[in-house]
Amino acid sequence: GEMEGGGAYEGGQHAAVPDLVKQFVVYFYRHIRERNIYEIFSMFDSSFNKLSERYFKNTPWPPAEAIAELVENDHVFCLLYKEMYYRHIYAKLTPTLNQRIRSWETYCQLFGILLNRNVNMQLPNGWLWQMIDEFIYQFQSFCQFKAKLHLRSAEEIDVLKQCTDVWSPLGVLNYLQAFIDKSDIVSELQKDGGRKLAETEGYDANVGQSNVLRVLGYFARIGLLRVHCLLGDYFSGLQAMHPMDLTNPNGLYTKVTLCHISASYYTGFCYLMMRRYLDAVKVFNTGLSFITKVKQYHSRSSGYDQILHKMEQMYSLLAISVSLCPAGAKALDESVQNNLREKHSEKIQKMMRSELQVFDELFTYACPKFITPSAPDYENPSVNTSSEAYSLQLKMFLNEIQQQNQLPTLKQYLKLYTSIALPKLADLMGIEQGQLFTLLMSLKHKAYSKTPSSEDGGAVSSGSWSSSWDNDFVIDLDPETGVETVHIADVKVQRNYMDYFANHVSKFKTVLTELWPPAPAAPVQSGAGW
Amino acid sequence: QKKKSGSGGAMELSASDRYNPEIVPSLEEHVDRQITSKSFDLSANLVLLRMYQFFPDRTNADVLVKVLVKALMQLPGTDFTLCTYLIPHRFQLEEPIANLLALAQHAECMRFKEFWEVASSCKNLWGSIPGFEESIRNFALHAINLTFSSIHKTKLGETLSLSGGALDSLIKDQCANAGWAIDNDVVTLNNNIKSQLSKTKGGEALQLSQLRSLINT
Repeated sequence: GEMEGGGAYEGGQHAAVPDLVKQFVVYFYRHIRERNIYEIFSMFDSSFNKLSERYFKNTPWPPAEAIAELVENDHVFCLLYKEMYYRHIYAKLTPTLNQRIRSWETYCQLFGILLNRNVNMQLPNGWLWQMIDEFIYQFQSFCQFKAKLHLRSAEEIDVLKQCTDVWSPLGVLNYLQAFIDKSDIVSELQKDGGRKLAETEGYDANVGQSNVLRVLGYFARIGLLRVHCLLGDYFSGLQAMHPMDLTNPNGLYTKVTLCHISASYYTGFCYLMMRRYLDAVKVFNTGLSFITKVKQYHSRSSGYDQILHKMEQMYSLLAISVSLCPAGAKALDESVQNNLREKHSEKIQKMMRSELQVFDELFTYACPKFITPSAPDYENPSVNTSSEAYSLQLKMFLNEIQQQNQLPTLKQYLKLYTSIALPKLADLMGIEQGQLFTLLMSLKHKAYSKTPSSEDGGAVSSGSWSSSWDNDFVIDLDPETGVETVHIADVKVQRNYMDYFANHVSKFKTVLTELWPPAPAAPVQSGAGW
Repeated sequence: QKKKSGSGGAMELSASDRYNPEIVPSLEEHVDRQITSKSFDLSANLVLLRMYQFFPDRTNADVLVKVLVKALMQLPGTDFTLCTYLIPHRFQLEEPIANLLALAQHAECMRFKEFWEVASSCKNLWGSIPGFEESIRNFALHAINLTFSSIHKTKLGETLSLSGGALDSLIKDQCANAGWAIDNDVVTLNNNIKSQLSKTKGGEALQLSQLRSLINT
């Protein structure tokens, strides 16, 4: 093998592997063979990171060849080990082109086995989710690496030109699709809505049965959602998730925190770009409520930073969605609404006054890392195309915002009247009557979108048209003068005291419970893997 | 590999087909079928656009224009926007895509007068696609129906880019089939938006779900 690292620990087959690391490998192997899910995950998440901190802060772990004899040269274990080896490099070091290629080859071999052989393994769901997650992350990273031709050496460019299959977008998509097909997860979900999967968390207690393919198939759908999002294909992203229902509080995806968050984030983003603002608000609300509840259990986990980052991004996207569809604010849980207000109330005000700069800022912060799937222009290596994809999506998003930019002002005026003659309204707004006509029709058009109907399981392409704006109006001709007049609904806002009282009653109950606590309940068991 | 074209014009693609570049020719044929059958298969067209996105050299500009024109005809659906997200920026800056983008912009902003002006200057792009004018008019009608309960005949004609006999026959059609009425110059549409306006929203009746949260704690 080539030298793949330097520093305190020298790579290579004959360098000394620290004893603790040897022990780790031996026990890890044993737990995997004995299908001890909790131990496997604890070692994967906790022990591995502790050892990395101690011995491999700036260097890679020992190569698989160095530890192979400790695990009877088990081919599958070595592949799993390699997966973690490269994950560590991506997380703590900067992977070289060679390492990126080797990592791709590792995934090909590992996935090849998982797809085509019956493996008698149970792996923790948390690990399986991270496998898919990391696979896509490395794909994204490679696209960026390739796009930055101006940073690549001549040898690297030569290698890139030859390795067209390495991390190819079609390759990645086909692997994800293969997991979905082979696991037959779609028919299972269509049969019982994923109930059995959620109950067993995918694990199969029967000897000789494995959870790996089935659960990877399930997670691969969220993987497809993410990849399509990165390519700008929001419709296909949502299609890939169907019939997974994100409002089902018991789906398997809820058992793995990072998976749930990822699903909410990407689904919400798709809705936002499809102009289905109300749906976006609902999905973000579900995701953010979930994070609020479980955040405390993960404060020591290695993925905590990721959770917080995605949370902030979702709040930013939620702020955008609520600015474009104020009626959606009603659908928010109280905690989410309070947090949103705390973080973004000023920005929301500005967006409702159509300040484009704020939309730009929040979108740029919160959007996914879009990629350009086509090969770079090797004839022009000084050109940096790495942000081309992002620029296009941003431009189209801002274009949509600009199309709507006079609407908030119009809405404000309409709130002031129950009826007003068109010429007078045009005068007030300082615009031509013809322009006012188009604005009024625009207002109706932009507020209408397709919401999925529950009858066909919320398929993306169907659904009925409905308005997401709660204040209605119509243009009528005044019977005497023939002048066009806008009639606005006289919406009597019913103050809903129920929520206010319910909130305070339950708060009071909490106080009482603290003063007189009930008998201690059984300790909370969180699922294996987050 | 299932590739039949269903009666609704939708092409059934097996999952592996979606990521298989060999399928591009049959997807391109499918676009022509959609034109003749006056249907639109967003899902299959996105697969085609994805292949063009992955392999820009294989982009067939004529087919691309056809897909976008058909997508435009889906208004008020967002199909056109969804397709455009996949088209590399440099294609969007040049004609003919730039023309289509301008058309879409006018349509989304309800600027029908401007729309028909630009459309007449690039008739070569949409002239051979049956039902184009009809679709855009239907979109305009949809918008008018949402916004007006009665409208001047001239305003109607302006928005639909119809006048004289053509306008009269459309109005006659709508009166017969959609419950419109016309009196002199005033067209009354058959929607009940006006009566809906006076209904109040929100109520004080308690929902069971609201009580549930109290009872369960």
